[in-house]
Amino acid sequence: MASERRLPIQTRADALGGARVVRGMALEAGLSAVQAGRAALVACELASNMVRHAGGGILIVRERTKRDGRNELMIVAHDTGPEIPDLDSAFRDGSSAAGPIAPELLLSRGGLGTGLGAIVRLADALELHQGASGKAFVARFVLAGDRRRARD
Amino acid sequence: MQQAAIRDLSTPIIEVWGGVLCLPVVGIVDSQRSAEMTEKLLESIVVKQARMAIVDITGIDVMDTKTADHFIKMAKAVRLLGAECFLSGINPGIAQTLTHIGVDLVGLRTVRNLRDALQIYLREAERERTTPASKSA
Repeated sequence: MASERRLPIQTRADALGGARVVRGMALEAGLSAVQAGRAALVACELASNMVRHAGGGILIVRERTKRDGRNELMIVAHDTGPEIPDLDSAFRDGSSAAGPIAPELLLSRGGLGTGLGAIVRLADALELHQGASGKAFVARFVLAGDRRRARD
Repeated sequence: MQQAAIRDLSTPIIEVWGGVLCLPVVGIVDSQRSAEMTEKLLESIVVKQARMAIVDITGIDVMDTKTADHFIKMAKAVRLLGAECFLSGINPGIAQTLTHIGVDLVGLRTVRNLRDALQIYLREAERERTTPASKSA
């Protein structure tokens, strides 16, 4: 079993729409409602980051069966925007690309600066590849084995 | 899909009763959206001179811990503005998230649903209305 969707992301509405597609695919793949909600949130944060920092990008959602027989939902967010210079501070909650966020600016800047942190917390696994051709986040959600057997 | 996305983007704040604002939260709540919601709710409370805000999250099944924490802070900010903030429709998953991150729940009022929140408000408003009268009598 393998299916893939490629979703171009240009605006914040695309990000939210993409998150809905991801939720649907996650449920179809047999993930629980909570896991599907997590996948949708991760997709939303990744896509919103592409809009904010790279002017857009592409979200690739792939459902596949791993070698050990378990189903996996993979979300790839690829853009050609600039590299993340300081990974440590980017992943720290309450920080943005420009460093820590002052509390009084938290609301007006339109984000909490906790997006990457949320992605790390919500995904089963996360990778980041950066290079001259841009960057790609790869987030994975693995379907629990017993659930798969129950469905088969 | 487009309509759903538009609904997810918007933050409607409805005055369901005189001085009572309701913020129904549906769709996906990410870090950006929760910041937008807070800004809009706090602004509306001042503009409408609201005495109470009900944040209904019945439609939400997953929230990141930091976003959940932010929602609690939003409720506290509402109180600082002199209004009451009720959180309604918290589901078991989010309840566990909130207790897990160990946020201070003192002073936070949660109710099962919108109807309960309104009932409590009306009861308290009634009590306020009748108490001074009985004193002067």
